[in-house]
Amino acid sequence: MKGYIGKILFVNLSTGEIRSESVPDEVYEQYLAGVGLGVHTLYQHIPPGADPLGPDNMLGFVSGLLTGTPSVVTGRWMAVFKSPITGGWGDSNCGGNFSPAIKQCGYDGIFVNGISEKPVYLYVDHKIAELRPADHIWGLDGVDAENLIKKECHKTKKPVVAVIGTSGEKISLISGIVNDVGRIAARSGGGAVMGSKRLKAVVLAGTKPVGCADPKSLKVISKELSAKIHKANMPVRGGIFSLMGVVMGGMKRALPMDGMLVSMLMKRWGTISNNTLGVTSGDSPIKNWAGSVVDYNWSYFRNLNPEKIMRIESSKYHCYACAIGCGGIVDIAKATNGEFIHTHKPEYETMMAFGGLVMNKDLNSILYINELLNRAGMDCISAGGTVAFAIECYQNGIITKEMTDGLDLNWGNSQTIVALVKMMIAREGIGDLLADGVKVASRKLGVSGKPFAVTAGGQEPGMHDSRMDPAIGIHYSVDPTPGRHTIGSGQYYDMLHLWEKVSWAPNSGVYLKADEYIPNEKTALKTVAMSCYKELTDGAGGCLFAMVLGVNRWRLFDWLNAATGWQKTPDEYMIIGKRIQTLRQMFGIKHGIDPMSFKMSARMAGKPPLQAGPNKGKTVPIKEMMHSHWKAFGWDEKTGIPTRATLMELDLEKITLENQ
Amino acid sequence: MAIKIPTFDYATCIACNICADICPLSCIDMKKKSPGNLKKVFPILALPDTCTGCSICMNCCPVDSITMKSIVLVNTKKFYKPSLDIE
Repeated sequence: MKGYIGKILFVNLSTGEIRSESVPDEVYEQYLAGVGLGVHTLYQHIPPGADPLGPDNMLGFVSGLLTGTPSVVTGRWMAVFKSPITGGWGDSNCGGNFSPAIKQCGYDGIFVNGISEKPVYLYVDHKIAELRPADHIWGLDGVDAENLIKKECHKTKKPVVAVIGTSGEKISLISGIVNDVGRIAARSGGGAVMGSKRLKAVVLAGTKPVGCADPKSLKVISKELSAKIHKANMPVRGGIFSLMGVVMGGMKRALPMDGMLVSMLMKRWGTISNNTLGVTSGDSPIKNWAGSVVDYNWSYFRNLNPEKIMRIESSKYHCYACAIGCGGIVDIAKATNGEFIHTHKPEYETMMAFGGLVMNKDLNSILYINELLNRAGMDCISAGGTVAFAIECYQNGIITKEMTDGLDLNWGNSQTIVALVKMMIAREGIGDLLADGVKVASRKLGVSGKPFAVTAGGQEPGMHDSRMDPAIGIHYSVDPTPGRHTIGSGQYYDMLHLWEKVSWAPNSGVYLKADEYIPNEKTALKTVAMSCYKELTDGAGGCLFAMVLGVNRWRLFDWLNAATGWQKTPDEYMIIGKRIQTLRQMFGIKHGIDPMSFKMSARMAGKPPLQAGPNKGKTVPIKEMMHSHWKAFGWDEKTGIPTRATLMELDLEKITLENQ
Repeated sequence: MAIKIPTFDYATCIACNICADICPLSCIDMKKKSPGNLKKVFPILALPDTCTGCSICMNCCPVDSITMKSIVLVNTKKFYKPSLDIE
């Protein structure tokens, strides 16, 4: 009983073969579970050059090592696969209740390859695993399909479902995998991979509890943390955030950060607490990364005031094992003229991708789009980025009115934006061109590399501006899944207080913000430590919002030791994080990725610099920073390929040589 | 027939869903409204007749907010033995 199960399930959709395999303890000791187990398995099973939408690609559903133990905020699951967007490593994670269900069926991961002749869904409980016909649910959106399958499969325990919506079925490269009626593991194109396999859903109904070495010690830490979160409250109204943003954006120094502030914000408002704060501080990209708060001013962003959304919030919810509870359900009957009754409270990313990024100030349209995308299973960040790209193409005469079937693609025209999103979901007209994201659309339009085709490695970036926080720009550009805002940032790092546990992690302290724009060893070591710790978090099933509470509150190292019975030091755990990240990088190398090709677009790096707003005149020397990061990681400074010495040090030489 | 069923200490409960999720018979539902925050929901034993008193919820609660309380059942429908073979 070590927190993990020790078994994984393989399903071949071409042959119908289903088999379980034991995983040796050493694998968990070297990679944990979650993303670590995922990359260890996929590295060996996906041949080089495999078509991401072909039978050789393998799609994994993996649970974190701490999921199911009495730890808290450790209930996230991950989809792992070869990304059809980048052609390299793809992963994506989500909360809800799907992660513990994998382990309750008796597995740490479920891996699917091949392509089924007809649509199927996979049913697994602690006794059986079988493929069942899914013709009757093929064509339904993610929410309707999930509700139908739940009814169909409910015997003793309510089943938990991960499903693709219509976008996944139509193999839209920017589609994700939906669970818990509208939450999405959205990034990297996992929905397209699942759709290409004609696998509509994975249904889990196991009842096995998860054992661990020392549940009492786990509970002691959980109680301590839960009490702190319970006591921490923020006695202000959401209207003040725009002012806070102005102050934060104007500060010359970065002050010590405390992640408990994030917890307070999440508990009360959720991620929408960053809506107006992000705009005024310079964190939110505006007008396809070419504008600022001067363009998207108070008359626009006041409509995104979190208090406006709280007024229609009917209930709050927590993901599995979460003590924070940032989720909420909002009433949208009025906003959608009765078409939908509820939607998940939109995330900040959705608010900004269909707010500031496209200059839209119509809150109702954002709520409507949120539900449309949740049901279709389309990634809101990529969809928003693609709409912004399309508008700029239209403004430049690259997309014409004939191509849009008469739609006038102007900034901030909410009706047009809704209509375009519907066309993308249905793959109709210009929507078919845009449904695969900016990279594919810009190639088809012959404008690849133009300033308005904003991506990092082909993936649309998150709604956090790298000109305000250069460290997030490094993570956008060097991570094997580029463009992801959840991998790391300077602010996250400052909140982790990793230096209090890890011998080599630099202490942030108080520093000049201007120093962050200068490539140096300390900045590089921070991003390296951040990457390693994030991979550990994803291996354990942890949530970013708990991670930023800091290592002395969300005590990952202590929980891992208590769950497994190991006695590893934080430094030893960081080597595991480094190993996972290096193997993710090697996965891309194996599949022909040039790491430099993941460098974020020039506009994201402030080339040319903005002429107004908090990020005015700021430029990020991203190429030099990528080189510094790679060097500090023990990868080749110029190419980003892990050196042989690093592979040997991390015990990765055998697996990489055998599977090259 | 006397069995034990879970009772919840809402003063310490963190509404984390673990008990509702782990219950092998889905007897626990997140339906109890909090008096302090009407939007927040806490667990409640929604199907007391179905509960077998297996204690999984109590053992899995990360903050020990669940205790098992003895009750006498008048009409028992069935006795389901959940899978407990922890690996």
